[in-house]
Amino acid sequence: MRLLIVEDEPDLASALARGLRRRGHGVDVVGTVAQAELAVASTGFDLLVIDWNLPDGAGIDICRRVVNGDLATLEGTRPKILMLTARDAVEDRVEGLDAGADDYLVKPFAFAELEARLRALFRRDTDSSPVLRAGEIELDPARFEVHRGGRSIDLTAKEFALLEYFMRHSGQVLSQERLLEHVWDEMVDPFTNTVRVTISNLRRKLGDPAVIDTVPGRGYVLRE
Amino acid sequence: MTSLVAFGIGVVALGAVYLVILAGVRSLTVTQRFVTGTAVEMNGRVFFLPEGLGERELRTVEGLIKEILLNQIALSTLIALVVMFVLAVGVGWVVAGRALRPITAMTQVAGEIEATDLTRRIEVDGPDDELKAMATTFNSMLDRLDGAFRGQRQYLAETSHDLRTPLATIRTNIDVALADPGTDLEAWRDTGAVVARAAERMSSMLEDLLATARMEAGTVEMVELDLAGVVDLVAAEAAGRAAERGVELSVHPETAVVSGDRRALARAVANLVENALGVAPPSSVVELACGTTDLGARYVSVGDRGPGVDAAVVEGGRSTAGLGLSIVRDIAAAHGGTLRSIARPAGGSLLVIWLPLPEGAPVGEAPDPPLVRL
Repeated sequence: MRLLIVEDEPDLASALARGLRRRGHGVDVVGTVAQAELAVASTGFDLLVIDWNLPDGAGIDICRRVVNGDLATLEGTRPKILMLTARDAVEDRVEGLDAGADDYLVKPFAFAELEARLRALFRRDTDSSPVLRAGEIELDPARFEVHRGGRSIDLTAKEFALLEYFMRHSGQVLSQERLLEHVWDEMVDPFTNTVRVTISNLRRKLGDPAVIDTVPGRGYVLRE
Repeated sequence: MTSLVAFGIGVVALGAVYLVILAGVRSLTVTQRFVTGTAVEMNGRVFFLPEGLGERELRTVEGLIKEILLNQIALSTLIALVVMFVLAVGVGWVVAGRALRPITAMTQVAGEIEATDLTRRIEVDGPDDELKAMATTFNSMLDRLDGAFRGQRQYLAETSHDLRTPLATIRTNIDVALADPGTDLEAWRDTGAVVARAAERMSSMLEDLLATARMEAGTVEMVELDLAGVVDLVAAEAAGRAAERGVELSVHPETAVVSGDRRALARAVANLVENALGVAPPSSVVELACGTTDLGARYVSVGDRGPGVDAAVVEGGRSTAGLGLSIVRDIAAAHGGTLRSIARPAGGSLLVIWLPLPEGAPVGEAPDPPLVRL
């Protein structure tokens, strides 16, 4: 998943980004409302993690603008929003959730809880099962495990994130650009063949019969 | 009101006694001047006494009459007293009840007010008397208490908010490092540095909190001290941070003897220096100075070449300026001084603690500190 962290405390933002990247997410970090709005308008994020108190305004305003459509996103999809703030008063939580935030987590928090909440947020779109299934492949985002027909498969974080994205959009043809946008982040060179390399590694590890097909000129698709 | 009622009761009672006595005396008058020889007039009737009834018998009759009269008066007075007592008790009961009703109401409100909710007030109505004045005074005391508690609650809320951010930084960095089995020594070192920075920020906030608490508890110890010593101390402590940020800290301590609390003043100066170092661009100069003006005012000034701060933020409200500057302002105020911010024409700002303002100098027009270039 492609995440944007909007946090003005650099020591906190960088640790969050490090931890989430290790889980295979593509993570961008900005520190102001202005940068955040620019980033949201130019990239199709799946989730925004927003601090409330930012140097040039309130993070909750980003949330409002995204939700009521003032802030047009690149693909027209609305990213999920998690408010991550030190404001713990009940009125603040209510205001945050009413402004359209999908979740609200108060600082200081356990990183494991943040991860669990992210998984819960991504689960809301699809079926409610915490474990994803496609054919004989099972993927458990919480335990970071993949099985095929009962056999455990060892994947790198990026391969895992790519497979998770395929499984959340199974049956859809996913272009290389879309995969780059949602599974990788701004750190990646857009002219790289990293998507092709990762997919071929993933195919090899998943074994036969192949489940990821290439659709010439359009992208890749995960067959059920 | 109460005294008027009591007075009225007295008048009525005495009047009644008077009327009763008057009636009794009238009905039993012996008009002695009609006593001539053997004829006695009594109650308008004339009695002819038998022969031989002399002066002695007449006195006996008179004594009898007086006795009857006195008995009558005594009885009437007793009845009047009983009636008066009953009336006084009854009216007193009603009047006292009415008079004490506002006090009962006040007692009830005062009993219901709790430290967490000081919004209740006593209803002020009725005549302009001592009770109304008391209620008004009580209400204004509640206003002041409410304001003070509200300020303290807001301060607490802001402080706990400010403490959460470095706490979150520490927690997240440690969580992330622990969760990754691949965290090597280098990464742990980085994490340690982050944690140390956050801890330093938190201890600085706690120092501010303690300084505030000490000042609000009135436990500042005013002794005669030289600000130059305070400035040297703060400069020595800040040297490391200045070097870390690549900022030159230039110190110009001059003698400035004030009566003050050494810890509080050091805290205030340290906060100004911390702020200045935080906003100073790399390889710029932060100037820390103190001294005495020709007019006798003592000052400490900290100048930076940062983006400058809004004077209203420095000198005004607590919430926008954050913890650091508000405590400086409070410390200056506790010493009878003030905090001023001056925009430097060449960029940056100069923050000055004046201790105290020279006599008669208008607030807001503190003199420019002479030892520091604007």
